[in-house]
Amino acid sequence: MDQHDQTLDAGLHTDSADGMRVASELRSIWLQTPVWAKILSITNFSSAALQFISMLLLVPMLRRLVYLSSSDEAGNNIILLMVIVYLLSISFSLIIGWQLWQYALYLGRSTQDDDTASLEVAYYYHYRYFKTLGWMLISLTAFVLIGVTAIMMFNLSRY
Amino acid sequence: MENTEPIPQPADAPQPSGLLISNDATHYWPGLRNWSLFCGIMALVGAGFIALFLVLMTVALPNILRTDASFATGILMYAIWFVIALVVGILLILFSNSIGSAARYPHHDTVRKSAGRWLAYLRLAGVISILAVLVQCILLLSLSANMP
Repeated sequence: MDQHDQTLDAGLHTDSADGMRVASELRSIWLQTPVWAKILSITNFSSAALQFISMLLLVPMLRRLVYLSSSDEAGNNIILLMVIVYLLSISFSLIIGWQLWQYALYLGRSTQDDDTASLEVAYYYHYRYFKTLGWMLISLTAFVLIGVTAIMMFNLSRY
Repeated sequence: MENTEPIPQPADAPQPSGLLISNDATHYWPGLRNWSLFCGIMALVGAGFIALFLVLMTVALPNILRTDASFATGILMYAIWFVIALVVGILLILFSNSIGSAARYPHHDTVRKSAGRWLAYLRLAGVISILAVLVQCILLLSLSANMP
């Protein structure tokens, strides 16, 4: 019976107080993960830069359109809302990019040096990544809904 | 008498390394599960909205507009976005499911499965984000070329 329990426990790869020992299969997956995390991080930084440039190009164009159509304050409010959405998206992209970079850095260090403490930090950034992504989705959805409502109200107020 | 016989291991059993997943690291797993599940559901909801928009576009628009080349391009773009959102949503939900299992039952198989799904998500998101950055570059260039 004791031997049967020991065989079951061996499958868990747990060292009770210390934690769970990492198997070679998991290690080989973790060796590839930092590469892709860094790629995603770099594209997030690039996306933030491109969004900033497009904001600088689009906002003056829209301001000119609002001026030409002699719209009132509501048109300017929609532009302001658009700028806020752009700034939110840019800042979230930067934060997510930085968190992914940190995650890749610590995960790479933990697999190279067998550093358990680095793995803890990597999991912390993994968790932070999903939390930030979740808050980005919540806030952008809220702002888009506000924007759509504002445009509808603006159109209704004209009739 | 104590049994000192070595525990038999299957031939394909993974060999453990010196690296440990500490108990402090596993404390993040329930949070990871919840947030990845939320993001996955949001992606699926987004895919649902895109599908609804696609149906409305194909049904509600007059026939004369449907023959336009830009209409076909628009439909194709939305269809691609629908597939991407759907696959990302499914991958995130699968990841949240496996990391949830790993949090409840810390077996090397459940941890390996969750790591594999996270890597699949990273690969897909990486390729999509590279393509998205390229599309953004092209759009920006065309926008700046058409500026008065």
